[in-house]
Amino acid sequence: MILLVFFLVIINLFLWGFAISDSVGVMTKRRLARRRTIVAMIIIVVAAMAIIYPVVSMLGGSVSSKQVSRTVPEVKLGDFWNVIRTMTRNLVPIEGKRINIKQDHIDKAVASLSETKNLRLETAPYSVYAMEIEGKELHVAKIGKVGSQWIYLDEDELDDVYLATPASEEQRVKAVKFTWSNYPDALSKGDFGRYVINSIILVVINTIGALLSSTLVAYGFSRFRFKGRNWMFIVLLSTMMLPAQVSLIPSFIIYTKLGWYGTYLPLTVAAYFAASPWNVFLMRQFFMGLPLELDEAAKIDGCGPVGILVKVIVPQSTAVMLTITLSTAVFWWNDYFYSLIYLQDQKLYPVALGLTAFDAKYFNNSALKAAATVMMLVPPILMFFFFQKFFIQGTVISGVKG
Amino acid sequence: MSKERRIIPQSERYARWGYAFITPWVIGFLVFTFLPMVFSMYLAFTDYDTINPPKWVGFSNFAKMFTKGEMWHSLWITVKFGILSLPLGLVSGFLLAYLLNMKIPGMKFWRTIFYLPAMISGVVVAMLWRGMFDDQYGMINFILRTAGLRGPQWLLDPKYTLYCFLFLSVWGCGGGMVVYLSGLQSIPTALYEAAEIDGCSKFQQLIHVTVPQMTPIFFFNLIMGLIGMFQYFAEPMVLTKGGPADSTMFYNLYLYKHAFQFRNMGYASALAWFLFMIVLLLTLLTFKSSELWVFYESEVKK
Repeated sequence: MILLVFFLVIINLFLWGFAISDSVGVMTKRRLARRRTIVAMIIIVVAAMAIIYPVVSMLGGSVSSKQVSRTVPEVKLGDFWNVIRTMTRNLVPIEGKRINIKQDHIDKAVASLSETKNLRLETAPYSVYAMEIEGKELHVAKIGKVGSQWIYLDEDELDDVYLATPASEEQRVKAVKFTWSNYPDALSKGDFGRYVINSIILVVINTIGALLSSTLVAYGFSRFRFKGRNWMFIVLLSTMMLPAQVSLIPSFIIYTKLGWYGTYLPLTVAAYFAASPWNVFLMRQFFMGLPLELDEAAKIDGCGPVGILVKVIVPQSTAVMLTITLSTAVFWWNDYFYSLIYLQDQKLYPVALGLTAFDAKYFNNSALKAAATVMMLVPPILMFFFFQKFFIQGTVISGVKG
Repeated sequence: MSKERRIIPQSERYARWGYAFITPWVIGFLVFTFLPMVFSMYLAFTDYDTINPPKWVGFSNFAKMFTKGEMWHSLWITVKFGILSLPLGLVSGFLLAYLLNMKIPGMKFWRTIFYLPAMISGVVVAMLWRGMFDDQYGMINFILRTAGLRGPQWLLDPKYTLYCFLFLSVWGCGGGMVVYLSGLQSIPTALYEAAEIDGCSKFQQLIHVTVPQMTPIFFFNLIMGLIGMFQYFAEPMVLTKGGPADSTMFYNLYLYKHAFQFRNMGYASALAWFLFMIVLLLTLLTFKSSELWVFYESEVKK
């Protein structure tokens, strides 16, 4: 519904700015143009905010303190005890500590509740939180929720049941503290630093491979006439449309039989054999556009085919090479599927796969996870921001001319 | 595609150099694409768990695939998702590009923001959005609550899970925008001037000049979208793992589960071949239909 309304508003704005006929006459051309620009700006800003929102909220999460405390207005010990006025609860459970509680105690705790409507129990093992109740520090396990109140059991005195009302929105915001420390923490803990290094290794190896092989192959296709060249190029183009799954399973079996499973070889070797037809196509289109006169001049000067490639073609092609470098680098920095299939040892994980492992390990520390996520998403964005010309060239050549 | 004019006559020796230069690709194609494809074709007719040698079972994998509902279910989910998300992404991406093309200040900045979803890994996309879908603290339900509606448990209710991915794909509509943008910039201004002289409003110009000129790009993005639909993996894998109740079991995820979790290599190969056939068919259909609606500059009308 809301989405529909939102779209209707956008469409109406659009029509207001654009569908108006120029022959209305009341408005001058310039006023109309200004009105259009304003409408476009409004829509763009709204859309940009919607797109950036998840990223910004993740960024915010990554710089808030991990051990956030907040005051919970009302805590009861059991349901018949006196109401304790203040309690400080850590938002984040004690790291790595989860305990099992016997069903008897859970049942007893549930029985002590005066109301059991909307009861939702968590499953064992339970997360443990450090709490401060009237100056006394307690470790309590969260076993579930009744209505809007959380149910806790004292870790040492399992008969003590605590009910906590969640803090209101204002109280929560006040409690969050700013800190950078999640970033170094994420890098040093849980091997995230190692994942980053692994990814950089993968990126470098694959980029070199893609550059070398696609330059050679594209040079072959663009500057030499030989039998079968055209149909071979058509085969190359048609592999662009080929879904990777068709060759995936046999490749997996072959790599496993070769003993390459669990190493970087399955992820890197193919790059040295022009595995990406896009790169070859891009490079060839670019080479076709380079003037042949320079080639001929070099040939007269006594250059062989290799000499022409190295001395004439490559120096002119830095732009397309940068495009391929960037797209390959971003692809392998982001890769999840191939590393998921071929890697087993966590020590070898690249960032994307590492992030999911990190996510499982620190499931209850959202600030640390946010820091790791931000570290993974920032490099491609920065790269795009600074080199957008080259990225766009790549997409456009393969998109428009293909 | 390539015109012969640029190639100077070469001697026999030069042809050999040509072969030498394309060798990496020839080897790569044979070893990493062609032979695996043949092998995959064979595997599709066997029962293979990677430990025991493959056992020939004839068409039983295909029979199992077509008679058991699972494959149709995941195919339907994928197609349904495609039908919902592709037009939405196409239109919103184009509109964004159209607006950005109006000499808006700070182009580089806006372009980075809109292209951001296409630059980051599916894993990160899933991480970013998981919080949004939380039924209590998530942004989406917060908006719904302020509007007085009760939001569902997005990622837990099988009725709604597929729509979560629709959010993701609309969010990522800027991916096609860059191509649209350069397409828009390459439309000759003479066409607009002519339209203006004929008394076209901006909106009429959009419908009668811009859109027809952009059809080749729509076409390209549609084909890539169709193929991409069957490659959709990281987001559902991280967010829902195909659940709950298989409501987000996209085709690629289903294939992955059979190949790499259950090690039903034979069955998975059959799935892969069926996928290939579908993609081929869809691509061919789109190509065939393109004569009706795609306009190429080089075509002479009438």
